[in-house]
Amino acid sequence: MTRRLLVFLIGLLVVGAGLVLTAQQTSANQPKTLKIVKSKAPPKRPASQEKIEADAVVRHIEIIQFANDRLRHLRGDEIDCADCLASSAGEGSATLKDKNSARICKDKWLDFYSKEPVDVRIVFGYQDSDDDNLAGDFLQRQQMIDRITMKCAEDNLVQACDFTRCAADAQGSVDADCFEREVRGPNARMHKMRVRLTASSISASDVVNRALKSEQDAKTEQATSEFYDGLNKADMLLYVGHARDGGGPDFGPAERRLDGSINYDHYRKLTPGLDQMTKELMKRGTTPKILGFFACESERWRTRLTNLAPKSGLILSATPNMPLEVGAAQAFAALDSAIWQRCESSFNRAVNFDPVPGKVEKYDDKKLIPLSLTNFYK
Amino acid sequence: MRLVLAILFTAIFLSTSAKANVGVLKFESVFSAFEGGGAARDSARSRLLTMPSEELGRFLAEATLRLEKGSRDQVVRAFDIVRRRKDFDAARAKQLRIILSSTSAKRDVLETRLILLLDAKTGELSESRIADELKQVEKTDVPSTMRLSRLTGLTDAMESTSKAPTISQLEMLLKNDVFEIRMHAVDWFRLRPPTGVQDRARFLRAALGSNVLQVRERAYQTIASWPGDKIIEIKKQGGVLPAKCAADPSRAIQKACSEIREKVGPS
Repeated sequence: MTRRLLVFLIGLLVVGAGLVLTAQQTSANQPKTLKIVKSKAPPKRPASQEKIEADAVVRHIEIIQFANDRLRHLRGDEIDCADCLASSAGEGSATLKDKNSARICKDKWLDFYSKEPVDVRIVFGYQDSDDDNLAGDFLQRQQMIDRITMKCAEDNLVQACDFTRCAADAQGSVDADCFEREVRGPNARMHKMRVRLTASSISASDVVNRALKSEQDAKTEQATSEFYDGLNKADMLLYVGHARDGGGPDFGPAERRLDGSINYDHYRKLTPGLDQMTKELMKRGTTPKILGFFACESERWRTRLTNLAPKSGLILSATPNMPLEVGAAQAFAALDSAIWQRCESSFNRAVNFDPVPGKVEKYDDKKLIPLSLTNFYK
Repeated sequence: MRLVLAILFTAIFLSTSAKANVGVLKFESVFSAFEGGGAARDSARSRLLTMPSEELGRFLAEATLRLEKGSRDQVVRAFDIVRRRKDFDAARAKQLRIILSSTSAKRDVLETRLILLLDAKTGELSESRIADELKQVEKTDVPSTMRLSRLTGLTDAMESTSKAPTISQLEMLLKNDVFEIRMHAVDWFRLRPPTGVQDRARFLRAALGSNVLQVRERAYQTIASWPGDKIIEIKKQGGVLPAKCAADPSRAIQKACSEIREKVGPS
C-alpha cells in the first residue's frame, strides 16, 4: 500500500515538473517583437528595403510600410465597389438607403475639396517617454515625408504618394514642412492639396532638445501655433502624439519628476493641453472638416469636441497605451482616404488597416480598438 | 524497485531544474513591464535604477537568456535604463555590449543608439567609427528616417563623452540632401561650436544663406544665443549677418534678429 502511494506521488511529481517546464518553454517561445495580426499576407517588400532593414530596423518604417500594404489590399478588394469612393458613389447603389449614403458621401467630399489649396495638416506632438531619450515625433514626421514623397506605384492603389516639397517663395526660401500635389477631386477637377507636416521637437534626440532649450521652446511654440491655426484654417487637421493621460495635446517636453519619470499627476490635475484646446475652440467659428486625435484614449474628449466643434468629422482613439507609431500609420491611412475620397465604410476600413469585421487587431501584443470617422457623413 | 528508483531520480532532477529555471526567471516582471506602461513600468524602472550591484549581475545573466529566447526589445529597453545608474561604469558598459552581441538580430533605432552610447562609455567610439557612421548618413539610397536616427544616435553618444564633430563633418552635414540633417548640423554646431573664429563664420555664412527656412532660423537663433563679444568677433569676419534680417517674413528670424541687435547694436 505504501509502495503504491509512493509510486503515485512520484508520478504526480513527474507530471507536475513536466507541466512547469512545458509552461515555461511555451511562454518563453512566444514572440514578443513587432507583430500585427494579419488578415491577409502583405506583398513582399523589394529586396533593397529588406537590405536596409537588416542594417538597422526602425519600427516606424515597418508599421507605415504595413499600412501601405494594407491600403493596397483594401483598394484592390474594393476595385469593383462603386459606393466606396465619392467619385463613383451612387452608380452601383441598389436601395434608396444606399443612394442616400452615396449622395451624402459625394456632397461631403465636394465640400472638402471646395477650397484651394486643400489644406491638410498633421502635427506631431512631442513624443518623449520614460525609457528612452528619443523624441519619436521627429522620426515619425520624417518617415511620413519618406513615404508621401515616394513615387506612386504603377497600380495606383495607394494615393498618399507623389507629393513634392512646396515651391520656394519669392525670396527663394523653401519651407521644409510643406508638401503638395495635384489631386483629382470628386467632380473630376484637379485640385492642389497642400500637406503640412510639423514636428514638435527640434531633433530626434531628447538630449539635444533639452540642451537647446530656447530653440526647443521656439519649436514648441511653432508647433502649437501650427495646430491652433489649423483648427481654424485646415480642411483636415490630425494630431499624432501623447494625450498625457487626459492632459490634452502637448507640443513640448514632458514635465518630469526628480527621478526623471514623467509627472502624470501634473497633467491629470492641470490638463494644460485640453484647457488650451478648449479655449481656442471656443474662440473660433469654423473648425476642420475632419479633426483627428491619434493619441491614447482621445475618445474621452468626444463630448467636449462634439460640443465645441459640432461640424467637424471626428477620429478619436479608444486604445489605451497606444504605440504612437500606430497613430502615425493611421494618420497616413486617413490622408490616403482623403485623396481617394472614401465613403464611410471604406474610410473606416482604411484607418483600421482593413480588419476582418469583428476581428481585433493587435500591435506588439497590444489590442487596438477600432477607429471610425464620425459626424462627417451626415 | 529499480524502476521506482529511476522514476524517483528523474522526478527529483526535473523538479530541481524546474526550480532552477524559476530562480533564473525572477526578473520576469521587470522585463515584461517594458511591454506595457503605467505603474508596472515605473516600478521596473525604479528597481533597475536602485537594485544593488550584485542583484544587477543576476539580472544581466537573465537578460542573456531572454535575448536567446527572442525578447530583444525588452532587454534593450531595460539596458537603456541600466545605463543611467549612478554606478554605471565602463566595465558594466562592456558587459552590456558583450551581452547584446551574443545573439545576432536586426537592430531597431533604440538598440543602434544604445550600442553607440555603450561604445562611447567604453572609449571605443574612435574617429574612424565616427567617420563610418557619418558615411551612413550620406547614403542617398537609404530612407531619410534611418539616416536621421543614426545621426541622432551618434550625436547623443558623442555628447555623452563631450566629443565634438569636426568643422568639415559639420559642413558636410549642412550640404546633405535631407533638409532635416542640415537642421541637425546647425543644432550640433550650436552644441559644440568649432574653436576657430573663421571656421565658425564660414559655417554660419553657409547656414544663413541656406534656401531652407528652418536652417536659416536655427542659424539666427544660434547667433542670438551667444554673448555680445562673441557675436562681434564673428561679425568682424564679414557677411555673417545680413542687414535685412529684421524684415524676414519668419517670426523666429525677426525675433532672433532683434535679440542680436539688442546685444551688439545695428549692423
